[in-house]
Order: sequence, then C-alpha cells, then structure tokens
Amino acid sequence: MNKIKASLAYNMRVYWQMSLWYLWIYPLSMGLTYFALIQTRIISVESGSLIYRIWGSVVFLFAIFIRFKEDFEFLLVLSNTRWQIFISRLITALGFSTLFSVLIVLERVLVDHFNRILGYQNITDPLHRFAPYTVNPAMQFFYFLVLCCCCCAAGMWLGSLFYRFGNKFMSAFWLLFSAFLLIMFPMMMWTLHQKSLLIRTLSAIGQFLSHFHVAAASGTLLLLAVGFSALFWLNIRRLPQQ
Amino acid sequence: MKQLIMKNISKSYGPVHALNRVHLNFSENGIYGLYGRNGAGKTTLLNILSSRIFADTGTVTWDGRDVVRHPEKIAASCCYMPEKHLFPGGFKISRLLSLAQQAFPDYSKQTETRLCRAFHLNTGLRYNQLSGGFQSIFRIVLGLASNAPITLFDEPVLGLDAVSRDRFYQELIHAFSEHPRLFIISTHLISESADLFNEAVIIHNGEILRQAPVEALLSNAFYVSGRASDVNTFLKDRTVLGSQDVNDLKTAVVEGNLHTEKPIPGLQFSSLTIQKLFIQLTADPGGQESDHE
Repeated sequence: MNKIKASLAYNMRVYWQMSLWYLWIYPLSMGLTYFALIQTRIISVESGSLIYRIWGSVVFLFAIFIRFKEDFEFLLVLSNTRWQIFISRLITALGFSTLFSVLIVLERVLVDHFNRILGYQNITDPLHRFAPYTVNPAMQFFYFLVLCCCCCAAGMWLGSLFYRFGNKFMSAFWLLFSAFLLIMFPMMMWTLHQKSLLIRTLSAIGQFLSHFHVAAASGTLLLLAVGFSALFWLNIRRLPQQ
Repeated sequence: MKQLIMKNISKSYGPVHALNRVHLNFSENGIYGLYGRNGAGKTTLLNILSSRIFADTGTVTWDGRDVVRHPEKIAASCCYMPEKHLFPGGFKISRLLSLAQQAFPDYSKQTETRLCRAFHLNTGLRYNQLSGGFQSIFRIVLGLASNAPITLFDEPVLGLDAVSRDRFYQELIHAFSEHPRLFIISTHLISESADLFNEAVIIHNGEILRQAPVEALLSNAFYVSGRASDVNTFLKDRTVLGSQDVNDLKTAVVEGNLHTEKPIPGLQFSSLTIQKLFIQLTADPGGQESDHE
C-alpha cells in the first residue's frame, strides 16, 4: 500500500505539472480570443455567443498519458510491482479525468451564465456534435468522465506499446496515423464525392450525431475504457525494463 | 535463513548471450562483490534479480518463492540502485528522497540526513542539476537509507573521487553492522573494494567463473616464476590460469594452495591479489598469447 501511495504521489505531481500548462494557457487564450471577438463586434447581442471548448482537453489527456518510459522506470526503482504501477496509473487517470470533467461542466455553467448576463445567444457550433451537452449536468459529467477515462486508458496503452516495441514502432505508428489523416482520409472523401455519395454520407453522420444517445455513448465509452485498461495491463504485466 | 537463489538462469539479447545457465546463492546477511569486465553480464544479472527484466530460462527465488510468480515478495524486500539514470530530472532531491521514504518500509530518515551531510549532498537541487558524481552519491544515500533486506548497487562509485569512495566503503560497513542485510555490489574497482566483501562473484561472458570468499579465492591460486624450463616442468599436470614469458624467464599463475607447496630451488612462489586473479581469469586468450611473444 505504501508503494502505491508513493507512486500516486509521484504520478499526481508529474501529471499536475503538465496539466497546469493547459489550465493556464486555455483560460488565457480563450479570454483573449473572446475579448478580441467582442471588441471587434464579431460577437454581439445580435449574433454570436461564448461557446464551450474545454471538452477538447480529452485530446490533451490522451497525449499526456502516452508518457510512459520515465514513470515506469522510476517506479521500478522505487521497487513497485507491475500491478502496483498499473493501479497507481489507473487511479491517476481517474483523478485527472474527474478533474477535467468537473472543469468541462463548470465551463458550461460559466459560459451559459455569461451569455445570459451579456445578452448573447447560446450557439451550438458544429464541433459540439462530437461533444454532446445534455440538460442533465450529472449525465453530462458522467459522459465526459468516461470519455476522459477512455482517452487516458488508450494513451496509457499506446505509451506502453511504444515502450515495448521501441522507436521504430512509434515512428511507424505516427507515420500511418499521419498518412491516414493527410492522404487516405482526403482520398476517401474524394472517392465519395466522385460517386456523388459525399453529401449523403455527411448528412447520415450528422443525423447520427444529432440523435446522439448520451447514456448509450457513455456505456460504450465505459466498455472501451475498461478494454483499453485491460490491454494496458496485459502489455505491462511482464514488461521488461528496456 | 533466507536466501536469494538463481537457478539455471539464461538471458539473450538477440544473438548476444548475456547470461548462460547461471547458478548463484546469496545469503540473507552478507556483502557480495560482483566482478566482471564490461559486457560480462553484471547489470543483466542484477536486473533479473530485481525483476526489472525476466530470464529466458531458469528461476530466481527469494525465501523459497519464485520472484516472477510472486513479484510482491521481491518488490517488498529489494532496493536496486542502477547505474543508468532512471530518476526524474526535474524533481528536487528532497522530493525524491521523501518518495523513497514512502516506498521503502524500513527507510531511515536519520541515515539519510547523516549521509547527506557526510557527502555534502545539497537536497535543494534538482536531480538534473547534480554532477555525475553527486548523482552517484544520491543513489548511494537512497540505497543505504532504504534499509531494504536486499540492496543492490550497480557501479555505485562511478564518478566518485577517492575520498567519497572511501566514505562509501565506510558507510557500507556501518550500514551493514547497524542493519545486517544482503548487499550485492557490482564494481570495476576490485583492489579497493575487495576487503569489504564476504564473497566475490566473478562473471565472464555470461558465465560464473567463481563464487567464494575473497580469501578462499586467493588461497587457491599463486604465482610461480623462474627460468622458463624450470617453470614448465613445475606446471606439468597443473591447472595454469595464465602465464607470461620475458626472455628466458617465465611467470605463471597456477591453481593450488601456496602454503602446501614445498620450496623448489630456482623457483619463486608468491601470492596473488584479487585484481591479478581477476585479470588472469578474464583476460582474452589472444591477449595472453601476445604476452608470450
């Protein structure tokens, strides 16, 4: 138990230091952006509004939880077993997922409040279709909590895979990822356009997202989070120090 | 008495055989020196003992329990200070030591404070602000203060000046007398460390050449020198560990007890140092041949 406590103290400190960057850069950049948009009357009483953006931090969580090598090797120096490392990482992920989920809900409350007192409308921008906000704050909190957990678990699994298989695997992974985003995805869109299927496909996706069932999605994400965590454990169970 | 036992341990990295069917026994209370040339397999051996890496074949047991099946057993008892820098560079030394205090149940804060003072370790600095020597000192402080039943050091005196090395040897003896436990220490500084060890383990090309008390190792080999023809006659039917010819004179290292040898006219017998024995045991055959020429 002492070792898990020590690992947790270490993990919390490391991830808190990284999160602090996000937590001061985000409000600063959003504050400055809104200030500029209001001053230039792009946002006014007639049109525009403050919008929710911090849900994008799930990508940030995914990115910071890819970090693995330094933590794993140091925690081995503190004579932790792989199981203790797994548990401490999992608790850390849960802690930061909770923190960011609270912030996401808090941002919504604040943004709604400011829109109301400044007389702006509440606009749902297209990106919000990927981050459904419900009228039920508890459901919204749970949805983002499992989304954050899922991203952290996927990041941890990926980080441990990078550690196990080394730099060549990591380069190959990011190369494939970039190739998909920059080449395959545009080609797929182009093919759909050529076959006059692009509009139909996009409207079908839009239809799906606009009827997003938050509870069902939360359940699916929960299963994914458990699945990624299990894969993470399977990978580090007998992972040798490189 | 608890024992840390390696049985039939082999480990390969691709085509390189780092360890080859190694058998070793370490008693609960003892200081063991691990000697070997670069690439001999010392670090691999320590990594397997501490479950950082896993052997391809064989088992490691601590107190009769397989450390792979019961990793919590070795984790609860072991503190391994590796040669590689595996500490987060941005953390202050005081923070790292407090994490160690949380992690190791028998950790002694008093020992830590005393050692930091003795070695002039500034705990207000970050790990990456320390020089190489002070990083070694930090690892020494952590390892000795941990009071872990199994304490492993990989090249602990790397980059340390003579005064700090001497201080380390004193502190090691002090820590052992205060809190007897198992120390396994790999080092290249054979002469100055030999007196510390209850037993020395000599490893070469992944194989254990010797595991015995230093006195026993030294009492089982000696120098013989004289005219080459006389020495060659003496060496008949004996195990020769190494030899060197200079003109008509020859010096050889022979297995056997110096004290049981009867004086032979024209031949001189003398005892070996542990460093000389190590060199004879682990020198390249090619190197010895060139010595003959």
